[in-house]
Amino acid sequence: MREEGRYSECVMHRSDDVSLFFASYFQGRNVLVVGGAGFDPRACNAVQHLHRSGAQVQLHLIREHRPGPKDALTAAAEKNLELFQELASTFQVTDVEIFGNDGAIVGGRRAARAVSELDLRSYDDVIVDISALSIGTSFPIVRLLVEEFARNVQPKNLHITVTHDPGIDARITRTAGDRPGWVHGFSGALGVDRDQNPARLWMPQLASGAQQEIRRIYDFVQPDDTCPILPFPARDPRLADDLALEYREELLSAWEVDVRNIVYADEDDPLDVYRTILRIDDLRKPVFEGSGGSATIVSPTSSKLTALGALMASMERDLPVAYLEAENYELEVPAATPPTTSQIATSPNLVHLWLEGEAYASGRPALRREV
Amino acid sequence: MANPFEKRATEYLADSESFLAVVTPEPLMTFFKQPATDGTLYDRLAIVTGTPGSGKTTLARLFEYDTVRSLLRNRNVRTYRSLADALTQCGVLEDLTPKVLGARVPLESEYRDFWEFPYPEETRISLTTRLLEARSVIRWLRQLNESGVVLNEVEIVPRAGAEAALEQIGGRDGQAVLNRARDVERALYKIVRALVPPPLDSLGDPVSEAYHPFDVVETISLPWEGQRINVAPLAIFDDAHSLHPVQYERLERWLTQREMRVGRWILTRLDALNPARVLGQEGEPDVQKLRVTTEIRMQLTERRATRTAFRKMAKDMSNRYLGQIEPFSRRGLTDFSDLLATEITALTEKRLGELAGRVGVVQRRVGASDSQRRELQAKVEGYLDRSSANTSDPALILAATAIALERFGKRTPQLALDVFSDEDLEPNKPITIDSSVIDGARIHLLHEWDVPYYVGFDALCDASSENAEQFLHLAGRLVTQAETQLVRGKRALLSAHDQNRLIRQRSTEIINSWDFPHHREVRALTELMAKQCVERSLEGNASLGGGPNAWGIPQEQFEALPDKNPGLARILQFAVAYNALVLKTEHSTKNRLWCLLELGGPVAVANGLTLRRGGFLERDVRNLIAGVEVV
Repeated sequence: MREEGRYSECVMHRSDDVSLFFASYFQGRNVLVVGGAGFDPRACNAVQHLHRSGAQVQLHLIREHRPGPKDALTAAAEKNLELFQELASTFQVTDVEIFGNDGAIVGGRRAARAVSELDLRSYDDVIVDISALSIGTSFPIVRLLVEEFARNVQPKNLHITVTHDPGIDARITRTAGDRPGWVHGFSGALGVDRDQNPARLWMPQLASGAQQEIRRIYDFVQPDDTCPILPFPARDPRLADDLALEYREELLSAWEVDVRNIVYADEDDPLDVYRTILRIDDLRKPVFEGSGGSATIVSPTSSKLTALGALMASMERDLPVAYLEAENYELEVPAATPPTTSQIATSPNLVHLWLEGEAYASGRPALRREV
Repeated sequence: MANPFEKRATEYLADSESFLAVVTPEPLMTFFKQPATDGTLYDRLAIVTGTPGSGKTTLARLFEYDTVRSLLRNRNVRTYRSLADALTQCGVLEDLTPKVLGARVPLESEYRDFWEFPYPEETRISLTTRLLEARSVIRWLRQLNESGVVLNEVEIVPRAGAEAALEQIGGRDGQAVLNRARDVERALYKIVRALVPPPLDSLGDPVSEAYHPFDVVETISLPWEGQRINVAPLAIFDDAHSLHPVQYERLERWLTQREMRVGRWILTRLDALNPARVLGQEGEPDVQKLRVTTEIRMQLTERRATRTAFRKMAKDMSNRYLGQIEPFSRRGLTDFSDLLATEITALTEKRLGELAGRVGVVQRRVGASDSQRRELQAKVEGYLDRSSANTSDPALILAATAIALERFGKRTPQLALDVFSDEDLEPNKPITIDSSVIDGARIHLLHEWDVPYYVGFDALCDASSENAEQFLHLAGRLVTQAETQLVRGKRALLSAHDQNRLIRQRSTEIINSWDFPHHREVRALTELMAKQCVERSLEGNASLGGGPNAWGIPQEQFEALPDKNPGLARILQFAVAYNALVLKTEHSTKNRLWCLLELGGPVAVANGLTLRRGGFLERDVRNLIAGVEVV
């Protein structure tokens, strides 16, 4: 029988609903926003909305450093920072090196440590805005806060926001590194020996132009089965077909994917991705129970919005998350001038998820932690 | 069935039987037999280095007990015999009985994380080594268990004087030792996967309790075909480049302890090491180090030997792969090199006439008489008749004669040119014809007349920069074409023209698919290098024979790179690690030492450059800095 998910009924707002909710809920509340101080044109969007709602916003920004940033990106990040300064009453930036001097990925661990040192007691709400944070830093930060919450330490309410804009996503190209691995804190129980190894099911979120990256992750995960997630419904109704075509060699030859194993999830709905992953995980459990169990591994290689669904599923079930950290980014055209305080970008779709807190009754399914 | 050449190496690693069907014993014989014979392979730390795709993991897999067991189970399969023989010569088998219990422990995951912990260095290295020891023990015993051995019948044999320490690793009984190792692993894993490191004083037993199986275990005794045998445990630490340099150094130091009786190898990619070491600048290992470690470089330093050894290995490997493809095996086509024609189709009469006309233009320009041209052409023909490496061909004769004429022109005093004189002017140094003139002619023919240059098995091997994975990528395209021909009822033999076209096409695809860190800078640099090399290669007199395929940087400038320009050193590190460039240090020319940065095989092939080594353009570090600028 399928278990009810902890986040199945998670409160979510999108687009205009976000503004309405922010105006009614956050007004006068003491809010800490943990976000990214990067070049991403969407970096300030959530804070702008909050600012308009009348919340007392305090900012703790994580500035991710990668070797050899382009001048245009640095300039865009500086502009974003100036805007942040206008928007928040308190403002703090922590610099986080994503790569150690030996090239090892250390960003997630360092970001988690930085956030663990924050005193959250004085805030009513903590919002993690993942719009300008990479997967490698945002996932550990959110998980750390969720675990703190589960231990009744802090905070009172935990929210996640993300500004989704496929147009901007398309303008940003990333060069993936060459060392696939687990996102910090998301290695599940795969690192410990058991009498029988669990059957590995890998669920990559396919994205255009990420073939090499996803192949490397595949080599690292070495799954027994693969269930690729394709975006459908999507703004471009042909996107799933186009991706299937782009990945035909992998699907048919390298990964030997049975067409029945292709999974579709709503491009704009992280909860759909979340429920899909949980459903598949549940379905496999009884099948592999007597032969070492099943381990579902996710790879959020697509948009941030769908990555959110993978994040929630992974936190709840302690699922491993395999990924490749970005070595550097490029913005196809010079970063657009960020809108001023009074203007709010209308085209990007701001999504809000109320992850933990007063909105929920006690007794929700607990978070799993196998080791 | 999918073309096995196109499959990735890792796809073969999951299943022992399919792995054994394609793996070649040649690298074992090339790299491991000698140290095994010398007795230095299992009694001390062995460090195995190589570029990505050079086959380190494949070798590690071959030494694993799982593989050895599968091999022995299928000992009557004909193709396995050479492997069994190689493993015997490497000391893994004796009388078809295992002597070594190999376990591959990949270091790509959690170990580096320990180095981020805010603990003293001693604690961090202790956590690292402890987890490594526990996982090695687990892998040894799990393999035995999976092969059908009951762990209660497995006994740990301690080294002399370590009997008292047996207790700390769980005793003598295999099952108890496995349980203990699992407990240690679990405790350490819990620490390493914590989002925030636990306080040092809360670590407790996992750090304070004694657990040093490498200091205790000498051999492992197990039941084998009705008797008991003792096997020597071997831990193979793969992907050690994932560790922090200091952590790596500490690990290396720890593994050099003489007290350890278990075999231990470190397998690492070249870019794991500090830039200076990757860039080939480390001096000779000191005597002290040689005594405690065995170094195995999976790309030989003696380059002629490397090419010969690689060709041998590639031949065996490709034949094994070919045997997996039904259309070939059904027709008894088992030798890959037989698929590659070496005869080059002659130019048409018309084009040959055009070429002859061009040679005539050169002749007039340099002021050579008809008899002098005939004399030079006769020299070319004579050389080609004597040469075993080249086939005489009218186009080749004409192109080589053109080069000889250009050289004639360079060596003839131009001021003495007197159009009214009947006497032939003579060059101040006689023109000789050698292999470099012929190679130059072949390169000219490739660029100007589209005459195939990359033809035959040896060219395919040389185009791979002695890298097995790259060889398979290039060969795969040829095999697919040959298979298509077979299916269409034609002969499998690939014409020289098709070989040349397909190898060049595939090389371009390989370059286009580069996505390793700093690939843009590497691409910019190699494009510039290739452009300059092509220009020089097409000089009429072919002053560098087939032309250059490298830049030479003064050795002293190159040695200062990691300190003076670490960013550039790092870019070059990736270029070398991914075979975009091949380094040859301390190359002596014109009374000066140079470091040659040779273009990797696919780059040379895609740009139509010679595969012969040694020709280079003199450059300096400033050129390198300008070269990596991405526009």
